[in-house]
Amino acid sequence: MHQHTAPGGARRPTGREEFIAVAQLLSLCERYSIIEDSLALCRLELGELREGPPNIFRVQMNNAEAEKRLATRFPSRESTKIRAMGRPPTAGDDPEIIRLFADIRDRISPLGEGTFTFYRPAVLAEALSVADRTISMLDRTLPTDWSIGPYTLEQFWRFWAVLSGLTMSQRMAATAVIAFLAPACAPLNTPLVEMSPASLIAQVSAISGLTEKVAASIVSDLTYDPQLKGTDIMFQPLVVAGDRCVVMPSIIEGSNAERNLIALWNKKPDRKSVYDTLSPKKEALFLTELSQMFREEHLHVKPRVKIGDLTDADLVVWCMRERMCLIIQAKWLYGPDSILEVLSHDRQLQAGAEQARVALDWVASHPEDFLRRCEMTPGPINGVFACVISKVGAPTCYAFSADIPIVDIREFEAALHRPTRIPDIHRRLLKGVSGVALLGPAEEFEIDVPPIKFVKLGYSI
Amino acid sequence: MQPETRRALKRLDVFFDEQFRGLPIMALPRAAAVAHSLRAAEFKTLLTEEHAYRDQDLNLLWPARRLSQDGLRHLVY
Repeated sequence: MHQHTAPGGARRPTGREEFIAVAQLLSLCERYSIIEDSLALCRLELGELREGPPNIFRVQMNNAEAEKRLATRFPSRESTKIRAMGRPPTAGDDPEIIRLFADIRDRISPLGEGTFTFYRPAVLAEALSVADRTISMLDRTLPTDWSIGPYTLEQFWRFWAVLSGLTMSQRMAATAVIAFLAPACAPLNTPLVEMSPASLIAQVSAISGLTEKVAASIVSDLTYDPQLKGTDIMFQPLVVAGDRCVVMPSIIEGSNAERNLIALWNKKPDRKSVYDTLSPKKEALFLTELSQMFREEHLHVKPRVKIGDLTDADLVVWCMRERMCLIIQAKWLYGPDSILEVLSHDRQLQAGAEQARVALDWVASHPEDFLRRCEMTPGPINGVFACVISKVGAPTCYAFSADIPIVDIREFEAALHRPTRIPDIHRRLLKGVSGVALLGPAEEFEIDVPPIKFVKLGYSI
Repeated sequence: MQPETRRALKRLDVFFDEQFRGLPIMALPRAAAVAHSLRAAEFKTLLTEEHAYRDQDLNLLWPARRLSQDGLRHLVY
């Protein structure tokens, strides 16, 4: 039913029974996924789960206000960034992708009943060019010269481009077979890239120019290690099965690679110890980026202002014309995916709002001291506002303050209109946060695993 | 956590554990099961996308992809 042809023509089949067994597993995994976030909320004591009548479970969030906010700000999970992919390119698409797909399709030839083959190296150069451009559109926020020890981020991106090229060409071949050559989805070749780790290292090294040692280090980091606490297939997409390494194209192409790499580094003690020395440097980069948004003559910016002995204001924007200021608390986190990460990010952003509150209170009681520390001319302060800006990962329903907007960098940029007036920015940010409803009321749904029925109250994604 | 919630979570955990353990694929050697699973999962993803584009039902595409990726995490565990 589903065959993979290995180099040399050897066949490794996934037969009908195995395919059905897997389909049952996938089905159960997906059904569990639907309720996983709700169960996590209950485990984190943010919701309650009640059974009644028997076999019918209802979950409800404890914080009614957070639940209302959920309608406008649902968790900013990684997959919101998954780009459109995985279809036969059609007119109107990127001409280079259309050309690559047509080239792959034309090279596919039947190998007998139910199996097909194509020679991947023949299209790899084209695929790499497309992969390079696709990768350039991903979030790449960190300096590429940062090194984790065995490799730099620049080397990681070269590796990732080759891996993306390999998987993209494989996926397109499978798509071509499904779409054009075997519309009834009769037997077809695998959509996975499957090769030995040594072969993967050699291929990546030959194509990218990385040394085998560097490629091997990256392969080692990205290889799924069930002993590593908190890892999963998104962080470590190379899965060892027997003597081979199997890679799902949709995981590679749908990955927010930098976020996942950093999350992985934080899970590996040897990498974490190096990353912890690099991470504090992010604040200076972020503050420079924010400062450059305020280049008008009537504005003055001052980074890292001591607020008494209590806290720091990461950035103060002072409007000389109106004598008003905006206190910015900047947070560069790595972007949440699981509900646990969402909660952890929200708590850090909420802590930022609390720091901002302390700053507002201190400025109100120490105006002259504040102006001196900011190197601004003495005089009245006609307005003090504050906000929290997240560089990566938008806040969700658990990060909230009524008068200190907690926003991501995109929302902040959208609120900047020239000529800049600080009260206007603050008003737009507050308005943006309360925004339009994105979620509707949850509907009762039944997961198809008899006899369990699961009911969610409130709002539902 | 309310005692009722703790009881309900335990009930569901036991229920899903039994469901997963009872699947025929659990009888396969791990490496073979993983390889078959990933092949079938990618194949299923491609089919879902192909159907979505063919039927002009693109609204299904994002949630289907999200669900597929969430499900894969449990699959490899």
